[in-house]
Amino acid sequence: MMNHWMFRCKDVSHKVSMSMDIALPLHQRAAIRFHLMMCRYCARFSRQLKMLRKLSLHPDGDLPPAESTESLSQDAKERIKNSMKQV
Amino acid sequence: MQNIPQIKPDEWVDRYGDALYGFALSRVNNKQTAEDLVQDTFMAAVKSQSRFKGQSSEKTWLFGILKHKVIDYYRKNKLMVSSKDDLREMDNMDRFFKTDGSWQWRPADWRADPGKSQTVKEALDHFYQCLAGLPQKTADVFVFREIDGLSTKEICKNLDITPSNCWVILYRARVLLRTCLESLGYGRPDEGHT
Repeated sequence: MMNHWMFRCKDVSHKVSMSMDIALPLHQRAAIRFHLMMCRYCARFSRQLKMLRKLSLHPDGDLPPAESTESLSQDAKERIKNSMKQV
Repeated sequence: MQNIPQIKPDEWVDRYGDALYGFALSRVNNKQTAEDLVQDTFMAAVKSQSRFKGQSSEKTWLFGILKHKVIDYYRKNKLMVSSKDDLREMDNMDRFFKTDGSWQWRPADWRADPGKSQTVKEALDHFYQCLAGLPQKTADVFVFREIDGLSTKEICKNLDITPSNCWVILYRARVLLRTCLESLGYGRPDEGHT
């Protein structure tokens, strides 16, 4: 979209990603926050990276459950337990 | 003194078997395959139990192993969604931006937040298909970071790469993953690539 206060969208997208892995310096965090307020595309990008993290963490985290409610049969459990003893 | 995490393989199947099976079945839609994946997960966990450091819960650790198995299964059975060839090269991250640094491929507004609707199962299926379709090293770094919860420092050490390289690979993985999900229909049709 546009350039806002030092960082371009290209820089912001990279910094937003980095901010998920390390603590960025205060001035960079402030510049990113300002840019995200002004640029809806970078704001979307930022939200979508957070969604990728939620999907990665599932079933931990705050997404609703999406698993099958079916259970392992007792036979299957015994079979798996036996196979673990062979390791 | 560091606490040594308590680990109880004898109890795993009864405690976590059903939850792991439910996750696997939702991903592969086949009972026998799901059971095999769970069995492989427990066997791998027994073999690598000395590596469990207690940074996450036992359950989360087992789920991490299962997710690796699911991704491998998608790859082996070619169930992945491959990134377009022209997006797979590192240098081509530039393709997403114009020369002035603004977006060339504008992130679209996802119609439904995949995590806040009934489509969470579909979102997870697509997510793993897209993840399995990433270039191997890119996927590995992403999985280490986001699924296994390793710090970038630990990833650098394991893969013998520099922190800058690690951050670039993670950035690339995230851009490709969100682009892949968008290509599967998450974006509104009136927006996106310009």
